[in-house]
Amino acid sequence: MGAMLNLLTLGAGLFGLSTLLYLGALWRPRPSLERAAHAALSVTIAVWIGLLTHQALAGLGGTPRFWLGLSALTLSALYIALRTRYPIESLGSFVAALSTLLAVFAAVNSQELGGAHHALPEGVHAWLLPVHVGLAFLGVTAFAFSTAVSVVYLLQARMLKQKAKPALRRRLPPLDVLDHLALRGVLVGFPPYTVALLLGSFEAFRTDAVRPSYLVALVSWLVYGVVLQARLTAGWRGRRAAGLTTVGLLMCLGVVAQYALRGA
Amino acid sequence: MNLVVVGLSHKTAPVALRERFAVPDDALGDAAGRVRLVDGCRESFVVSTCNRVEVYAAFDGERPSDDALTDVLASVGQATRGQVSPHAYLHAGPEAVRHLFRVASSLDSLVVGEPQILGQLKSAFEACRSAGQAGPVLTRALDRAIGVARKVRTETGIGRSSVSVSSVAVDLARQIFGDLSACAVLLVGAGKMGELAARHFKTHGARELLVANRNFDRARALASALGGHPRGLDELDGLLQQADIVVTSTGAPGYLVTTSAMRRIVPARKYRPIFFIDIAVPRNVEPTINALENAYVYDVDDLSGIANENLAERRREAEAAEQLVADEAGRFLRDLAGQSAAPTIQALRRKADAIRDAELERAMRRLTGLDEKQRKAIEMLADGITNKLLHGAFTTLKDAARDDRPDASAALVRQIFRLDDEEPAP
Repeated sequence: MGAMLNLLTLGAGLFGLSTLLYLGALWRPRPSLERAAHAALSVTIAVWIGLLTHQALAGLGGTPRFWLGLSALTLSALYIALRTRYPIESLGSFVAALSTLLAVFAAVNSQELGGAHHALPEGVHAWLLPVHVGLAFLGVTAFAFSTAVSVVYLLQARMLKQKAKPALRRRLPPLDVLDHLALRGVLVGFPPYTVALLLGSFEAFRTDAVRPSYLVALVSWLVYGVVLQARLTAGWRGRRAAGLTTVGLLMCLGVVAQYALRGA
Repeated sequence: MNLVVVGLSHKTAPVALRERFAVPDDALGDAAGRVRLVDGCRESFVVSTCNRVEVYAAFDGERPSDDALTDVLASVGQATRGQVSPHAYLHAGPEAVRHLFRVASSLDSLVVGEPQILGQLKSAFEACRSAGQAGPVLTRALDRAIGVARKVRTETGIGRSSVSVSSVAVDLARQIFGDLSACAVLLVGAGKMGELAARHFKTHGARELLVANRNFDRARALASALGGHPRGLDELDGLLQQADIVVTSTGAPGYLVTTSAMRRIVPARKYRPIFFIDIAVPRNVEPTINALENAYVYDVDDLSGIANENLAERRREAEAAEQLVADEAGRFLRDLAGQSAAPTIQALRRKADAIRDAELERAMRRLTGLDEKQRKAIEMLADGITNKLLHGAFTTLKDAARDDRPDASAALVRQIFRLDDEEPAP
């Protein structure tokens, strides 16, 4: 257990190192620094694949730290995959920072609350929990990506409005690409999050174990529903959409935090 | 081999003088041929652009006097030494190499960081090489100059930013829309600057160009020239719903596009971003539109300000590039010097191998009855003695070449081993 905790801390440190390299490349764009940042993140992803596989094989696949680690890994892997298609080099620092945060939560959680996942509410189907949590984390990961992109959108839009110095503005991706990716993130995350919420609500009402976190999750789902509806019908984009996407993620993270602190 | 460059550029000579020296591409070979007539000139090439004319030459031994080289340049422009010498610059040896690298890297250009000079250098060199005027030394120097220029572009930000108003507008549009191939551009008015900007957008792949003018015939003429569609100015509100990029350059005394109109138009556009480039003075687009969601307004001062900042950034990056060029020039000269020992090393190797082969043959004739293994052992012995004996001499020659004193060591080795008795020094 102790060795695994050390490895998780090392994994979180690797995400941190990638973030620093990406920030360096954002501050002083040099091809060598960008290559080093991408290499560091790729190595980090490989390390986390190993760590999570080890956890799953040890029967700890349903722990909060497993899902948090998987979110961090998926987020970064998604970025690495998307940058082959979109000009989003400079998003690396934001995505890596978010992954670092999730990885740190995973490492801290494992140290303080390992094993809390076994506390199943009475009467809840054992098979349901990993499906519910897994889908919820998949949704939250996609929303996190969307939020990271939205934050960059807000930054870029602000710099364009204020006619800021071109140096940093030029390093960020175009607004149109950011808007497209932010919408994609919500579109990808919404279905699994919806199913996770339905499963969770069904079991909560069936076992009479409704908690405040369900209400927060429901509101966050509504927020994302509004984001999608407004984007697809009224053509919302930019500042409003980015703002609401961020609010939705904060609520999701609130639910995740409650889950992680309390156990399922 | 001594490298020399003599030339005139925008920094040293007025355009009235430079234009006399313009050499058409198909005459570059002949011009380089005239340079080869100078005593000791082994190779040459001439480059001629609107901002410079330069003669590069490689000489055996000592280079000719400054006057002789100025005469060479004067002959290119059919001018006299007296007319040219106050404006000419001349660099030799390491300074000539550094100058070539600086020119190729666009550090000596009128607009620092512009990319055209590298292509101009390459084509000028190719013309002179195919005319038989440029040889291995200049080829090596130019190849390295091209490599250095590419390194400068990738490792510094010297060519990253735009420095003209039209290019800045295109860059900003790319920051908003990414790919311009989905963008419709609306040109309002028929001002020269606006036309130039619209043409720039079209060149950079804008999907559609709409030209609106109070005078429809003028709109039609301009649209036809730019490959766009003419529209009347009375359709402006509708056009603002269609267009993504709006370039305004009319002589109207007040705002043509107002904030109150855009408040209606932005939701009707479903909040698609719209980018106004207001080149007109007085301005045609109300500046407060910039505060509306997804609307971006840049006037001519904003664009010029960015162009100036970009220029300043290029200058800052140029300092890093200068250091890189100096390092690369030093490395190139060391490599070149190292190669100057090659003819002596090759001659020594040839002589040693010839002696070894002759002695082996004589020994083998005397030693009859040797089996294959014994023959091999004797050959290896001869090889070992030869190589070990030569190793010290080779190392001394290479070290001397790297320390910029190749000639004395080479002469000593040639004398000790009597290399010049059998073959002339190259």
